[in-house]
Amino acid sequence: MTEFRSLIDATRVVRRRTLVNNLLHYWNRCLAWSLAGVLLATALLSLHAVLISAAMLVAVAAVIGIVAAWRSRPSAYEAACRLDAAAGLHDRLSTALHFATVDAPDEMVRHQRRDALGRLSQADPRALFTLQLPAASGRTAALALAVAGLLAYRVNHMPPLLAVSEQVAQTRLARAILTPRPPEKEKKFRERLVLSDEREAEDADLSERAGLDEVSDPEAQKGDTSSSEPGEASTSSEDQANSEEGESGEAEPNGASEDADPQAQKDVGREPANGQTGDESEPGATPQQDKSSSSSLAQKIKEALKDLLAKATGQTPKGQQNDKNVPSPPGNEPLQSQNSQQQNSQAPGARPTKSPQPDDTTKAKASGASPPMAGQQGEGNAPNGKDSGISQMSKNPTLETHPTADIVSLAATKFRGQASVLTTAQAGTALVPLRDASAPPTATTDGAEQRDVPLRYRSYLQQYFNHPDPNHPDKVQR
Amino acid sequence: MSGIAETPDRAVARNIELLAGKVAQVRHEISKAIVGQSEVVEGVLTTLLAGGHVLLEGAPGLGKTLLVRTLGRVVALSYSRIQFTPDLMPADVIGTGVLQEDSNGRKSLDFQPGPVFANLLLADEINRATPRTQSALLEAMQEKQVTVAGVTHVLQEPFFVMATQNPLEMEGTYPLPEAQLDRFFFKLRVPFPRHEELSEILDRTTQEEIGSVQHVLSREDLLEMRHIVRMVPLAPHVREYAVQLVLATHPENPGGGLSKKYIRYGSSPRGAQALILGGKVRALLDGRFNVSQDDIRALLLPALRHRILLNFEAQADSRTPDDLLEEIARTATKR
Repeated sequence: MTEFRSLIDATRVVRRRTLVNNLLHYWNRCLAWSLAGVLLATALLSLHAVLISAAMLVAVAAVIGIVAAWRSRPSAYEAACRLDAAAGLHDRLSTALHFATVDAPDEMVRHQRRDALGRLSQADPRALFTLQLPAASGRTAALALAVAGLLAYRVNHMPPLLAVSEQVAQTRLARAILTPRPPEKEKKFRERLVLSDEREAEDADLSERAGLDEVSDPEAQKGDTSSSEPGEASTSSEDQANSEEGESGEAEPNGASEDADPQAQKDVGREPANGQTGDESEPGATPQQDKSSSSSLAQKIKEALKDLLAKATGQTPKGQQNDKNVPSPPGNEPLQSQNSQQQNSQAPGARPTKSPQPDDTTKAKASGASPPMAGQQGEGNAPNGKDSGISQMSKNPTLETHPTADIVSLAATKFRGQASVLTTAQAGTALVPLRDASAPPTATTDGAEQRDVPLRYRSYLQQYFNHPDPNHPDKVQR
Repeated sequence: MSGIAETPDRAVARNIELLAGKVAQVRHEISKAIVGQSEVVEGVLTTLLAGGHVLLEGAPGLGKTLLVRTLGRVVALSYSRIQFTPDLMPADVIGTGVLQEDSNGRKSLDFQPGPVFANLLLADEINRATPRTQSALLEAMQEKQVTVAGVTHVLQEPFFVMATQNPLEMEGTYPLPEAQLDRFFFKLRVPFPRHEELSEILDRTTQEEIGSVQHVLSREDLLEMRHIVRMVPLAPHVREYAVQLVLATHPENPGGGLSKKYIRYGSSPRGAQALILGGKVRALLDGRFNVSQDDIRALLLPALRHRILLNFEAQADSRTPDDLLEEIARTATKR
C-alpha cells in the first residue's frame, strides 16, 4: 500500500476540502432559513423572545449544518472519483483505488496503477478543490443585514407614546420605592420625634409632680368630695383654657409643624365633622366612666347653666378670669395641655392644637361650654377613682410610661371604625360614643405622619412604620 | 504480436504496449481508402476488437462497402459479401447440402458452406431480404455457428458481420426484427462527408490509381487483442453508470418519465454488454487501462440506438432514439 500513499493523501485532501465546503454550504443554507425565522420573529415577537429565538435558531442551524455536512462527507473512493472528474483523469484514480485491495493483480491492473499514479503526480488536489463560499452566501449576508437592522431598530427605537408612558411609569415607581416621602417632611418627622421624646420626659416629670401634689392634698387623694368639685372644675376649666392658650402660644413646635402642613390642619379641622368633635369626646366617655358621667349629667347641666347666667349678668367665670389675668402655674400648664391632649387623643383627629379654621361648633364649645365640661369630667371621674385626670395618670403605669401624644396611629385609634360611628343625641343632650380612652403605647410615633399623607398612601405608610428591620432609621431614633 | 510465447503477464504487457500501435496502423491503412468517417471507422474497429457485429446505416455511395472491404484487407481475414435481395434464401446465406456423386457412383449429400463462413461478412442492404432470410443470420451472429440439416457447423473466429442498410428506400424492404437488431453490437450512422472530405473523395476516386492497403493485423493478433480487451479493469461506479443508462431506457423504470412516454421496449442486457466492452476497447485505443464513464457516455448512441423500440407517440412527435438517449444521458448522474 506504500505506492498508494500519494493517492490516499490526495483523496484525504479532497475529503477534507469537500467536507469544509459542504459545511459552508449547509451552514449557509441553514443560516438563511434561521435568519428568515429570526426576521419573522423580530417582526412579531418581543425583543426578549426575539433574542432567545435567534440564539436558538442559529444554534440549531449550526448543529444541523454540521450533522448534514458530516453525513454527506465523501468516502475515499468518492473523493477519488471527484478528483478524477476534476482533474480529467477518466476514472483512473478511482479504478486504481478500487483494485488496490487485490492481492495478486494481473499485468493489466498493475499497468493501470502505474498509469493512475503517474497521472496523479500531475494533478494538484489543493488547487482543484479550493475552499469557496457558497453561491448563495450573498443572499444570506443580505438577510443577516436585514435582521441586524431590524433588531437595532427594535432595540433603539420606541414609539413616542410608549416611551412617555414608560418613563412616567418608571418615575412613579422609582418615587414610590426610593422616596416614599419628600426629604423635607422626613426632617420634620424626625424633629417631631425628638420633640415628642422631650415631651414624654416632661410629662413624666409632671406626673411625678402631680403625684406629689395629690399626696400633699388630702381632698385630691380622696378625689370624691363634691365640695372640691367646683373648685377643681373651675381649676380644670381654667387649666383647660390655659392649656388652650398655652398650646396656641407655647406649643410652638407643634404649631410650627402645623403651620408647615396646612393640609394636615385642614384634615384635622375636617375630622370633627364626622359628628364627634374634640369637645364632645372630652367628657371622657370611656366605658368605666359611662355610669358616673351619666349620673352627674344633671350637675353638669346645672354648672353650665350657672356659667351662662353668670355670662348673661356680666360675671365672668373664674376660669376665664384666670385665663385672662392670672397666668397658669408653670407646673400646671403642661399638665393641662397634657390632660387636654389626653382627652383629645381619644377622639380621632381631635388634635390638641388649634385648628386655623375651626368650625362654629368648635369655637362655641371652646369659648363657653368646654371649660365646665372639662371640670365635670374631673367630677364625674373622681367618685369612681378611674381616669380622674392627673391622679389617674399617676396611678396608671401605662399612662405614666407612655403619655398620650398629640398624634395617634390609625390602627390604635380605630380610625376607620370610628369614622362610621354615628351618634344620636337628643335635644339638649350629647350622646358620646363609647371607646377606649386609654392611650396606645405607640401613639407617639406610629402613624404620626399619616396626617400629612394622602389617604390612599396611608396603608403603605403603616407598613413602612411597622418595618421589621430594627436598624431602620426611624426605629433607631425611637 | 503473433508468436508471443512468454508468460501470460509478460505477454499481456507486451500486447498492451503493441495494441495502441497496431490500432494506429489499422487506422492509417483504412484512411488510405476511406476519407473522413473517423467515427465510423472507430466504431467498426471497436466492434471488431470487442467481438461484435456492426450495422452501418447510411445513404448509398457513402463508402460503406468500401470500408468493409478495406478492413478485410488490412486485417488479413477471409472476406465475403452477401447482397441481400428479396428473393435471397437462407440457404444462400448459410449454405446447403449438395448432392454429390463419387467415383464409384455413390451419391451423398455434402454440405456446401455459404458466404457466412468467413471472418468478415458484408451483408449489404440487409433490410432488403425477407425476414426468413434475415433470421438465417441469427444463430451465426450470436452463437458463431450454423445448423444445416441437423448438423451444426461452427464458424471460424473471428467472425465479424458488417451489415448495411439504406434508410431512404423503404419500399420493398423488410425492417430488421428486434431480435436481429439486438445482435448487432453497434449501429453506426454513416454521415454525409463534409466539404473537405468530399473534395478528397473526388480527388482519390477520379484519378488512375487508388492507394494500396497493406495488411497490418493478423487473425491471431486480433484474437489476442480481444483477449486483452476483456482484461481491462472496470470500476464499480462505471459499471453502475452503464446499468443506470440501460435501465433508464425501460418504460417500466420508476424514474424514467421520458422512456415511459416514448419508448415501448428498452434495451436488452446486450446493450449493457456493448457499453462495457466497447468502453474497454475505447479505453485501450485511448491509451488507458481502465474504463471511464466518459467511454460509456460516448458509446451510448451506437450501443443502444437500435435496441430501443419507440412507440407511436414518439413517432408522432418525430422523436428519434438518438434524441431520447441524449436526454437520458443528461438526466443520468455521474459519480
